[in-house]
This record gives sequence, C-alpha cells and structure tokens, in this order.
Amino acid sequence: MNFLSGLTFLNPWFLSAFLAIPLLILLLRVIPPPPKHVTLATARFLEKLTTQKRTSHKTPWWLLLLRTFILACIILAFAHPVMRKDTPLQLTKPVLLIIDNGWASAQNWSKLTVKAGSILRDAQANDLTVRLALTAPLAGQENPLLRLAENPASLKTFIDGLSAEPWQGKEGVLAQILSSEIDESMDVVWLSSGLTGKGTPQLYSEVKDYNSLKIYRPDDGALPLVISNQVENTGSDGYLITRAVPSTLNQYVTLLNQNKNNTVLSQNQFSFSGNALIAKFEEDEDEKKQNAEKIRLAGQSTAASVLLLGKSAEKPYVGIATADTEETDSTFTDSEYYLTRALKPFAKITTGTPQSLLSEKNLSVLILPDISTLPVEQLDKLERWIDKGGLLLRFGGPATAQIDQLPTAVPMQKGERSLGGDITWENTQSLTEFSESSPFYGLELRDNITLKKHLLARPEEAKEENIWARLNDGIPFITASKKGRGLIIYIHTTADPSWSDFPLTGLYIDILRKILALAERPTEAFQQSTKGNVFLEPVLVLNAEGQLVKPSPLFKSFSVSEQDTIEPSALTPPGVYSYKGQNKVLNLGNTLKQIEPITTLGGDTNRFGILEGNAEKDFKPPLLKLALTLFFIDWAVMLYLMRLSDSLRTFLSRYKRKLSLFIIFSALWFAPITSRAQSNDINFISKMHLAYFKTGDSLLDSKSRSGLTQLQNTLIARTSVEPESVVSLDIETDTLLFFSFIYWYVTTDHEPLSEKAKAKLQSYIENGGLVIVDLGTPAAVQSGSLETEFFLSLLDGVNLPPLQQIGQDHPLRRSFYLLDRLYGRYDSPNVWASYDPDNLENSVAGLIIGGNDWAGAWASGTNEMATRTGINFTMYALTGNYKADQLHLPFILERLGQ
Amino acid sequence: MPFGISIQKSTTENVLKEAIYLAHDCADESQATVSHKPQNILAVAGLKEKRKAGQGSMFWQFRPYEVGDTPRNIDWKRTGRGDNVIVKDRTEEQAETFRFWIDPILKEQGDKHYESLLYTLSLSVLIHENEDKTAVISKGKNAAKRGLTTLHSQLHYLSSFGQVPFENLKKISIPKSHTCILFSDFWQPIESIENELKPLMRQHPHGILVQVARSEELTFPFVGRTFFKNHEDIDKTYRIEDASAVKQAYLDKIETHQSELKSFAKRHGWRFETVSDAKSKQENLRTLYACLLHLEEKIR
Repeated sequence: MNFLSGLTFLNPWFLSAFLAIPLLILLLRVIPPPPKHVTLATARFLEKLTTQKRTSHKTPWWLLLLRTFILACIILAFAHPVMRKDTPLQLTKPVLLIIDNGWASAQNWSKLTVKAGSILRDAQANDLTVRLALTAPLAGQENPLLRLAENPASLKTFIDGLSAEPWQGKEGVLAQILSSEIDESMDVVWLSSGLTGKGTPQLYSEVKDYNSLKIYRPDDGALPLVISNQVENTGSDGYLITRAVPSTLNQYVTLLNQNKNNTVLSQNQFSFSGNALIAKFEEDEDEKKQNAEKIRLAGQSTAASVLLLGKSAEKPYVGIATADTEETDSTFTDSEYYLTRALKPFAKITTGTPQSLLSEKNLSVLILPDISTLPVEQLDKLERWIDKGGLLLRFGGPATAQIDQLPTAVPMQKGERSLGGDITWENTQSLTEFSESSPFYGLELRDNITLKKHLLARPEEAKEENIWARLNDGIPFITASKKGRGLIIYIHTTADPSWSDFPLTGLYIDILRKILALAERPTEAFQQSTKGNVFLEPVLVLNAEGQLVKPSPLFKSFSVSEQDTIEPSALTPPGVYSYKGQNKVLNLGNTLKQIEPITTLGGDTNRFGILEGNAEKDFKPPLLKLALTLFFIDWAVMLYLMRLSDSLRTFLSRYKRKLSLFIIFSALWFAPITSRAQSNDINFISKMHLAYFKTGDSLLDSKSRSGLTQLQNTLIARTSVEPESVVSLDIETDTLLFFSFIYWYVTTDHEPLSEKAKAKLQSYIENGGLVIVDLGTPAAVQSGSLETEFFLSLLDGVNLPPLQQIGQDHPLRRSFYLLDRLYGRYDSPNVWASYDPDNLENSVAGLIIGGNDWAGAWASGTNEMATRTGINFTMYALTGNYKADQLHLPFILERLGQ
Repeated sequence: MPFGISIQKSTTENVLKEAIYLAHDCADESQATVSHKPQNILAVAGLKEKRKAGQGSMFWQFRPYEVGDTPRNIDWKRTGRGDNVIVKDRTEEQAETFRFWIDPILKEQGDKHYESLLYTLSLSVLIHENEDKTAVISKGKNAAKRGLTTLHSQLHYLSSFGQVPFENLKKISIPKSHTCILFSDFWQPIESIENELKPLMRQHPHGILVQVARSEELTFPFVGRTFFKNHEDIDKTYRIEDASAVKQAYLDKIETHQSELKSFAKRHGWRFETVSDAKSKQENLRTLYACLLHLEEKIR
C-alpha cells in the first residue's frame, strides 16, 4: 500500500459513477438485444406464431468484462488520479509560505508554483491556514507583500496569478515585517530562487529558529546566470557573465547579439567552468555594433540575462542642403564638410539641393546652412513638410543676415552682430549653462566658444521656452519653435568656423546629436517637465523573462540627477528610459555585484530540498489511452462476432451509418475540443460580421442585436458590404480581432472588466479595431458626468488614445453618405473619436464615444439619417481614412474614369 | 438486395444471353429432346426455318406446280400473274403454343423476378427449338411466334410494362388450345389463389404453376429475436422473440400450403412445380423442361 499512499483523486466525486456499473450490466441483461429486421415473402405464415421466451443479451461474459473494464478506466480517468512524487510535508501548525519572487526565480517559476501548490494541498489536507510572504515587492509597490492568514484554496488562485518580478527581492525589509508579524506557532516553508540577495541572510536569521523550517531551491544546474558590462579588468570591452553554481560544474553559454526585432546579429559560444567569465564577440563589425539593441544569454530567461545597450536602433535620415550647382560657393561646401563630419556616426546623411531633399521619403531632419530664400512652391513644400513632423535645422551666415524669407524659430533682426573687431567693446562671447527647459540641459560646456559674428533675434518677441541656448550676455544663440507637428531650430551662427569656433568644439557634436534625438518625436521637445527637473520616463521595460515590453502605468519615472545612482526596483524596473532625446538604460545585471547560492547560508543541510519540475504524476492520460485501446479491441471483437469476414461489402453497406458514426466519434475523441471554436473562427475570418459586446442587460443586448440586424439588412441592400451575421461577444472570453468594429453600450451598471479583457481591448484598438461606445444619452458625453467617469474607471489601466470631437471634415462624416451630424435617436454633435497625435493625417480612430443611441435608432428601422450614419460607421471601420485622402483624390477620380 | 440494382445489373441483353446459354446447356444434357445440335446461338434462337409442308391451315410457302400436286392447292391469283403455275403450300401441322405469365408482385423481390424471367426465356428457346410457339399473357392481342424477335418482345413485355396482375388473370381471354405456364411465388392464401385461377384452369386443361421461392422461405434458418415484414404490407411487422422456436410450426404451415397447391393443380389437370435458389439454375430449368415435355406428350 506504500505505492498508493501518494495517490489522490482530483475529482473524487466522479468515483461514485462506479455504482452505475452493476446497474448497467443488469440493464444489459434485461433489455433484449436489438432485433434483426428481415423482409420475408412468407412472413404471413408467422401470424399467430409467438413465443413466450424472450431472448436475452447473448454477449459473452468476457466481452462484458472487457466493457466493464473500459468503463472503469474512463471513470477512473475522469476522477483524475495523481501520484505525488515527493513526500508530503508534516504540517501541524499554520504555515508561513515564503516565496522568492525576485528576478532569479523567473527561470524556475513553474517549479516554484508547482511546489507551492502541493504545499497548499498539504495544508488543506491538515486544515491549516497559510500566510504568504513574497520577497520582492509587486510592481509599483515599495515593500514586499505579507498576506493575512487565509484558506489554502483561495491562496492557490492568488499564487496561480502571480509571476516572478524582474527586480531584486527586499528580503531585509521582509525580515523586519516578519519579526513583528509572526509568532512561534508557525511552520515555515521557503521556496527560494536558489540565490541570495542583499537581505537574504537577514531573512534567514529571522526564520532559522523554527524547527520546521524547510527551504526548497532549484537544482544547481538550473540556477540563472547574470550578464553585465561592468568588466573590472581594465582595457577589456567584453561582457561579464557570472554564476552562483559550484565551479566544478561545466556549463555552455551562448552569447547573442540581437537587434530591435530580436534578430540575432552575431553569436558566440563559451564553455563556463569558473564562477565568472568575460565574453566577447569575435567579429565586431561596426554595422552590427550600431544595430545591436541588446546582448542576451541564450537559454536563460531572467531579466539579468539581458543586457540592454541603449542605442537608438535606427539612424535618423538627415538631408544637408547645398546650393544649386551653378553658383557653387565655398561656404556651402565648408558647412557640408563640418556637418557631415559631425553627424556621420549618428545619422544617415544625404546631400542635395533643398528641392531634391524635400522630395526624399523618410527624411526626418533637413539642415539648411545659410540658405535664405527658396522659390515660392519650394517654400510651401518646406512648410508642409515641417507641419507633418519634419525637423528643420537652420544655420545663420552672411546670406541670412541680408535677407531671410524662410521660416525662423523666433523673429529675427536684419544684419549680424560682430564681436571682437576693432571697433567693438566685447571681444568674445561664450555660452551660458543651459536652462532646465532646454533639451540641451545637462550638456557640459567643456570648451570656451569664441564667437566673432552671430545673428540676433528680436529679444522682445522671444519667449523663454523658445531659447535653448544663450550667450553670456543673455543674447539668444539657439532658438527653436514648434510648427505644426514639426520643429524649427535656428543656430544663430554658421555651420563652419568662419563666424565662430563653435563647429570645432565637442559641444557642436553634442548639440547636433541632441537635435537628431529630437527628430523622432519633435513635439516632445516642448513638453514641460514637472518641478523643473527632467524626468526620464520608462519607454520599454524588461519583464521577468527578459522580454522587452511596454511599461505598466504603475512604474515611475526618475529625474536625470538620479540616473547614475538609481537601481532597478519595483518602481523603476530594468529597461529603457527616455525624455527629450535623453536615454538611460537600467540593466539589472550591473547591480548584481556577486551572486551566491543560498546553501552558503549554512545551517542544517536537511533543511534544504530540491524543487522538482513536475511534482505529480498524472494518471488521467494513460488511463484514457488504455480505455481507447480497449475500445478498439472491443470493436474488432464485435466485427468478428458479426461475421465480418463473410462479406465485408455487405457489412459496409448495412452498417455504413454506424461505421461513419464510429469514425466521427473516434475523430472527436482525438480532435482537441477547440475544433468547434476554430470552425467558428474560420467563419468569422472568411466573412464579415457585425459584432456587439454583451452588456449583461438583456434589454440593451436585444437593442444592439436588432439594431445591428437592421443595419446588416440595409448594408446588404445598399452597399457591397454584405455582413454574414450579427455576433454577440463576451468581452471576457471571446476573441475580438476578427471583427472590423464592435458596438458597445456602456451603462453605469456594467460589470467591471478583468485585466485580461482590458488587455484584449487595448490590443484590439491598437491593432486597427474600432470600438463604438454608446453611452445612451448625449448628456452623458461630457467630462465629469456620471457615465463618462464610470466609463473611464471601467477602462482604468487601458492606455486610451487621445480623443477629439468629430469635426466637420472627419472621414466618418463622408465615408459613404455626406452627413452633417452622426444621427442616432439623438443628433448631438458631441461625439468623440480617438486619433493618433503622431500621425494626424493618417490616423484612423480606434474608439468612438458618443451618446446618440445609434443602435436604438437603427432598430426602429425608420430613421433614415441614423441608418446612413450606421453605414458610415461600417464604411469607416472597413476603409479607414480613405475618404480623407485628398492628396490622392485626383488620381482616384482619374482611375474611376471621371 | 433491392430490386432496382438487379435489373440494372442484368440489362435485358444479359438476361437473354444467360437464358440462351442456359437453354443451350439444358439441350446439351438432354440430347433426346432437341433433334440436332445448333451450330450457333442464332440457330438455337430459331432463326432457321426447318418446318415442312403439311395439312395445316397456316400458309408456309409458294412453289411451282409439280406433278402429283392436287389442283386444289394451286394459287390462281399468283398463277395468273406469270407463266408458271404456282402452288400454295401449307404447314404440316399446327404448332403448340405456350403462354407465359410472371406475377408482377415478384418485381418487388428482384431475384425472384429475374429468375422467372430467365426460366421463361430459356423455356421459350427450348420450345422454339421444338417448332412450337410462345407468347405472353397480356391484355392486348399477342400473336404467338417464334424467333429472337419474339424472345425480345417477351422479355421487354415481362420486364417492363403492362404485366397482368394476379387478380386480372381471369379477365384475359386466352385461346383454349394454348398452354399456360404461370410463374409466381404463390404464397397468397390458398383460397384467393383458387378463386383467381379457377376460371383460367377450367378453360385450359393443361398448364404449369411454377412457384419461385427462396431457400430461406422453405428452410427458415433464422435464430434469435427477429422482426419479419412482408413486401406488400410494409407496416405490418411480425415480431418473433425467438425465431428458432417457431421454426417447426412455420415449416409445417409452408408444407401444408404447398401440398394444398399441388392438389389444387392436380384437380384441374395442371402441374405444380417449386424452384428455389437452393438448387442450381440448370437443375431448375431441367425440372421445368421435363415437366413441359411431359405436358406436351399428354396434349398429343
């Protein structure tokens, strides 16, 4: 019986089905077999020939036994027997369960949770409560979590939802919390990552006095590795890989050099025998170095196995304008020379006339050194280009001092100021420290700059925020302003050393680099930071598995001044932080100075246990397989008993239906249960469907359904859009991505959304879906109203795109019919649509919020204007901003033959 | 097997071919009955005229006058047209005519109908060999003839349209000299058979009732719980819980029925024969043919 001691049933109530087996046998004995049907010409002669004796089932006893056995196998399988591999813990007191959820646990997280599950089961069996303590704080929190004593079953669901965190644990803080919170009467189980952190000895000393203390750790070979770029041996530019396992263990590590898309640029394999290793890539080509985003240890999945390099992945495309070829002036060529030298490592550079540069695609920065005029149409083109998000960088010079017809950042005076001449007071001027509002804040003024000449801005019209650099006497030197979604930056001197030695200094390069960094998001340059300090905001962060993901809103930014001291934590996880072109990378590996296995804490070795990958042996699959095999044997026997061998053909014709049923049945047996869902999905993909979210309010749901059904009929009648059906979606469970738009009535008694549903909604909106939110009444659509506040709280945690009221020229108003309002039962113009601030021209709304009760109007079937609005919604969801594309309109019309 | 398939499988040509071979086989084995071996199938099918002139009433041929011919035989109309005196010959004797009938009910039980058709045609071939004529029992006029065309038309008639149902048999007028051969399974109640056939049998002193049966009807090999149905009355089900227990009672009933039929036939000077698929087709055909020859002797 020793073997059976670890056997438990997950669905023990299913065993009661065994009672049904004898009943089934009895029934089989009593119920006559199905009759044979015979057509006989002489059947008439059987009239009045009846027998009293009934034929009972002629199933041989061994076949009956076989079938009983099959049934028993199935019942046993569904009762789900599992066998524990480990011995259950002898728990007698309430349990304190310490789970190490720091970065090092990510590698072995599934083992940890499996073990946690079996401990909880033991506690449940002994009717004990469990307190859970986590070593690492959860995202956005300061301190580690200690939960109150609770029922193991409810704790299990909490642990199932838990994952390792990409930062270090705060064991020291936890030790302090525990010292005040727990008392002697507890059994302590510690599921460790296998490594020690800073506070681990403190935590150990806190709990080591418990006799029952048991520490589980992963096997030595499963402990994580750490990569950092802080190589202490000078002169080496490799990467330091450390490990905590005994130095006798031989491991192979592969170092990968990956770009933004996780493409491996180069790789190198090392044999690891000591505790630390300095690794390098053999061929370090410039291009690969430039493109690399991160260094990763293959086969490792922790935040410390990835080293972010913090380089901008793509070089900006910079155009340097030269004058027309006929009137070649040495000034231009000189400027071009200095600019090219300064920018080459950081940008992709092209040169040409302003005209040719403006027709380049993907140009992000245009540099005009001392160019003061352009033909009118070129000027128009230039202004449009800036409005669309281009960055224009201008330099002054003799030509611009005379006449300047091109856009400037601030109004300029005619003429230049000369310094250091015979008749001037001032000799030279240099730059002052950059103000905090300037993107150049923090750049070091290493060299003194000597200016001979420079242009002057009209001081009374220049606002403080437009002046990015000043001379010692307060005269603006670099000015900038926003224009549309673009940026104009004016450096008031030449790009070559003819007016100053600025182009010869390191600052020239620094400032140009800063400007290039702004090219990606020009408008950000004018966003005001709080408290006058520059805060670096998380752009991409590493998750516990070492994947770069979008940051959660729980994470905080940190100021530039802290950037050298800050360490990855629950508030600032490892990742890329950026503000106004300033980048900072937090790498976890760099803060982990030395990692030690937890066994170094000493103490009784009996206290340590090894975490097994799979703590249970599941008997369900083998039992089901056995039942299936026996089932086939049963069929073979049946076929034999039916004298199949006599005539296969007769059998086939006679039992065609039964046989096909059997084939279908066995196919179902093998097919995964999702096949039904898949077939539905295929239907959703191949045809267009109108969809709405179920609200739980049957009245609203039926309104949505009948409204959309009416809309479907109208669409089929009037347009080439032929929706297949109207589908109701459960936001929590259904897949959204098949639907071009989803209608959603939101009332204040809507059920709150789960995190999963929010994420699904977010990805649907971000990936081209359209959600039409109807708040039911126009009065609800204003900030501060109950409904709007409720809706915002419903979507708390979803990164909603910015909204704007739908204007007269919004494509929604002309996607099919020309409409002056978006009519529903109400015709309020108060309808809001999301837009993409970075791509104003081409943005397609992912979210439309209004309160005109459109579905209600569609459902009535008589409101023509509302029906037209519905058609416009559909067309907008399908064609996006096609109708807004006025640029190509002449060509479209031409193609249409009009 | 559903009947549609059997007809499709054996197209009319196939039935005919099989019937001719069957007859050939039968003739081979009983040489005495057929005067000489046919050289080919066409000969067997009766295309060769081999009859002699005689006293019969039927016209046979014209031929020039020869010494010894009676002047009564001169055909003056023909003679007047030419130079020679033409004599009109008549057949030697009146051939015997056999008329066949297949119960349309058998069509529902494809095999039985097919076999009936086969035996009919084989017997026709053999009858034609004997210089006799065949015809089917039908509503319209149906001249008794010989030859392949006759076989074709018989086959066509019997397998497709216009068969005479059992109840209408008494309404058909058949010349008294004709001999009727009736194919059916004769499983109807004996009273109704007697009623329907009595008028016909009183008119015709000779004839054969051929019962086409299936072996399971005669042996009842069923065991266990079996539900039986008729071909005619689909809704009626005979539920037999244990088929083997009723076997003997059933066989007794069948035997009684058959002996009643036999005595009924005998009373009217007819014969009753049972053919079933328990025996080979050749064997069955031989039985029927022997029966036919016996009948012919009796007629003479």
